[in-house]
Amino acid sequence: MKKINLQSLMLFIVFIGTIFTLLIIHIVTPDSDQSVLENRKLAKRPDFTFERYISGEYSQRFDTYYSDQFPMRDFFVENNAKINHTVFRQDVVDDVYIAEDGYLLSRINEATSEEAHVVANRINDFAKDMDEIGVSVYTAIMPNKSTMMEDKFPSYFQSYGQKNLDLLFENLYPITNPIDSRTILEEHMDEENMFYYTDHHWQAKAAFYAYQNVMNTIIKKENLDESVLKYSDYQWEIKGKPFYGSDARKTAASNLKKKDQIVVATLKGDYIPFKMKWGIKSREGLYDMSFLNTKNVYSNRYQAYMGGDYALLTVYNDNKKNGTNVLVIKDSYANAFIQFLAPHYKEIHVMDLRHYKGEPIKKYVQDHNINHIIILNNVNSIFVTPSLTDFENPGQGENQ
Amino acid sequence: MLFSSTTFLFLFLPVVFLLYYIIPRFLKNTFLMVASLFFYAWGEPVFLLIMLLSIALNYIFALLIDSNRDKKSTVKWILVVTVISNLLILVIFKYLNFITDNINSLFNLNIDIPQITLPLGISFYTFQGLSYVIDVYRKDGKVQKNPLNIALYISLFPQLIAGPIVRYQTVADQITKRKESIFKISEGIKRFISGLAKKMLLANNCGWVADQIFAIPSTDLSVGQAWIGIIAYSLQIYFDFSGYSDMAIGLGKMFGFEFLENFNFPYISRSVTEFWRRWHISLSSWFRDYLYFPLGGSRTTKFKTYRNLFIVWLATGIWHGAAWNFIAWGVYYALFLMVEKAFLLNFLRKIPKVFQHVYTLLIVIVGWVFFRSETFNYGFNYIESMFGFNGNKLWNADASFYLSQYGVILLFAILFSTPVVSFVKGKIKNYNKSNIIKFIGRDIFTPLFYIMLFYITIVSLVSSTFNPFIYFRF
Repeated sequence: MKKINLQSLMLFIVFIGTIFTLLIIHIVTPDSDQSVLENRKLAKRPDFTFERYISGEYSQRFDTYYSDQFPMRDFFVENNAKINHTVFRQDVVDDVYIAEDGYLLSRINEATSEEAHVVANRINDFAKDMDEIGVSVYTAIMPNKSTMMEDKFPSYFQSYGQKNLDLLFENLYPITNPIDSRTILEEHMDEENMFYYTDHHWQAKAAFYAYQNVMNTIIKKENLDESVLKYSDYQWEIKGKPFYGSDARKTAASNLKKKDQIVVATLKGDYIPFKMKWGIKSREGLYDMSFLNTKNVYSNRYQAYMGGDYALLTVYNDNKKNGTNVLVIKDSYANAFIQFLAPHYKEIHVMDLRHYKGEPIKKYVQDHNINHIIILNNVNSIFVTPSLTDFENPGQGENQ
Repeated sequence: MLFSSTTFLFLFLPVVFLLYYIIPRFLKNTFLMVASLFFYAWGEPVFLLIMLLSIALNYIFALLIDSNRDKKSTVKWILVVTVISNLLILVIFKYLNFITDNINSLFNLNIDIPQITLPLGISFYTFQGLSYVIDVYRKDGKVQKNPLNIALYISLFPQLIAGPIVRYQTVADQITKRKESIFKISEGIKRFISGLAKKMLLANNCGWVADQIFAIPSTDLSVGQAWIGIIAYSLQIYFDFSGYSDMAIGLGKMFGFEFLENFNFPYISRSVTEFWRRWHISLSSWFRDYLYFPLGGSRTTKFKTYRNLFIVWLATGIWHGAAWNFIAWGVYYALFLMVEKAFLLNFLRKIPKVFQHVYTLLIVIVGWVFFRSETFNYGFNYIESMFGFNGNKLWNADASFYLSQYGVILLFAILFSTPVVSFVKGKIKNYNKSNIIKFIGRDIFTPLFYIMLFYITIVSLVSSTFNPFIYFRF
């Protein structure tokens, strides 16, 4: 047998030391309830029962518990992402492509023409239905980051936002008043702060240009005595802590070149502040600034706009007491958009069909003297989340 | 329990290691056995009973054989009963569903038996149990009076679930007499780290690619994609299996055991015959010693030699799983081994080495297609796609995707499926005779390399359960 050499000693100490150290840290650190990074509840230590043990359930749950509560888990996850990116040269994580310039782009799967047909027909039927009671519908399906930046995707990881949007618009009847905002947004894509590097939502600025496009169409069509506001009518301020969005949580932050911040838009001049009401609650202004500075690194700071998604909410504009009312049927893209719509209407009713379970929409429209309806979704969610266009049976939605 | 779980590496292993080395010698084997049974019962506690039954049977049969040595025919009969009862357990738990399904469809019957789950590692420990009794019968190993020692031999946790199939004669003496040392432990650590890294970094990633590609209808694949898929699978199965063997051998060393090697760079073989001397060595040598030789091996008539080859490889195929594709895979190898024995081996020796490699890899890779495919139809179509017979495209975006994301890993995997490390080591040794370089290489570079590999592997292991839940997607 050979004598002990330095190699043996080093390996012995480091290996045995590592497994013991991590075991001890695991035992002494208290378990946490929630993973910040993964945004899910972590498994707790299972209680031992003989039945559970015999069925194998105990060991299975213990394994999950032990790895979920592993010390410095986030550190390991972040480093794993880094190794995959730098050593193994992977630039696709899950469905997210990590572009050279720092944008994290989640791919949009190709929709079939049947799928587009189904979605479009739901909107067509709804528009016809509303037409019967004299309410016009405007269908503003918005391109998202992956659609506006589709040419950034490599040939081996293609995204189909443009094609899906084309398909959808082809299938929409004129009565739905389709509004395509791609051209308008394209003109501004060289500007900063159009889309987040790390989140799938658009930024307030992109929402603003889209608003100009949508509102211009409505004004023309309805012969309104209105004009759209200009970019300079607002004060634009970057606020709050860094924002690591949904795409960043898939790739882990170690792959980020750029981080984001929320831009707050404030209307210049004197006016009575807008009020929003939902259920029995209400708030002055259309921002919930608390989300800008929450401690959690991976906080969804986009929720600063309106405070997130609500089944139903109403924005009241006391500056326009004799104005008209609009109903926005929407996904979370509308949250940054509605602030720009607000000055034009007396009441803006905002309905999220994933969660709305109230009276039938037709009745709601009549009861609340709705004059126009805007359907505002982004091209991805309108295909992947059927409940967003389920006008007949709202409230059946999974929030996916 | 899986070696690649945090529960094993950061709870079971340190605790067992610590206790093993602080308890007195006379308790060590018992402790190791209890730990092994706990290890086995972790996943499927109920199946522990089957393993205990197998242990008890073989313990008793070996004693019977040993005490009836003088009565030649009685001993033979005991051996026959041993073999039959071991195989019966295996047949019931591994093959009964398959057999009844085939009888039902063949005779249009409706025999209904409950779905039987395969107990973990049953193919491995049954063969170890048989090895024990047969070795005692042949006087290749001593009979064990102490049932705990037999329980330890069969259930020893490093090799319990996926081999290597340790033969009784290899470890008979080690059970009672073995020496542990820091040197041996650290050799074991190196081996374990290599195995874990093979599993976590190479096998799992290659496996991801293979799983994706084998989930696509095989007629829709582009030629490039089909090749990427099967190459990824060939690498996955090699690194998964040999990684497991490395971990087993390494863990064995940490507790003072020496197991035999199970893999020896099979993909550098220059004939199918050579491949089977390098792939899953413990299984092929088990079949050689306990089936091929008893049948007469190759020291018999030509016809019988070929018959024996056929039987052994049919059995090898069946051993791998209760499905027709495994049986076909075994027969496929039987045919090539027969042809090689008849004339091909002589011919191969005369052609350039590169063609010998290409020939062997082609046979092996095509074999893996059937091994991996769920149905024959899928497998045949897959092979057609590999050679462009389905009118499929040469290349597509998906193929580029896998190459762009997993190209580096596949390259690493291909590199490490050859003896590149020992080749480089040898080169350095030849050039450098100086003691300083030797010292730096052995005592600085080597341990640092393994430590780095270990840490990278831990990172991958801990984050393998990373499961982001994007509830606010839209």
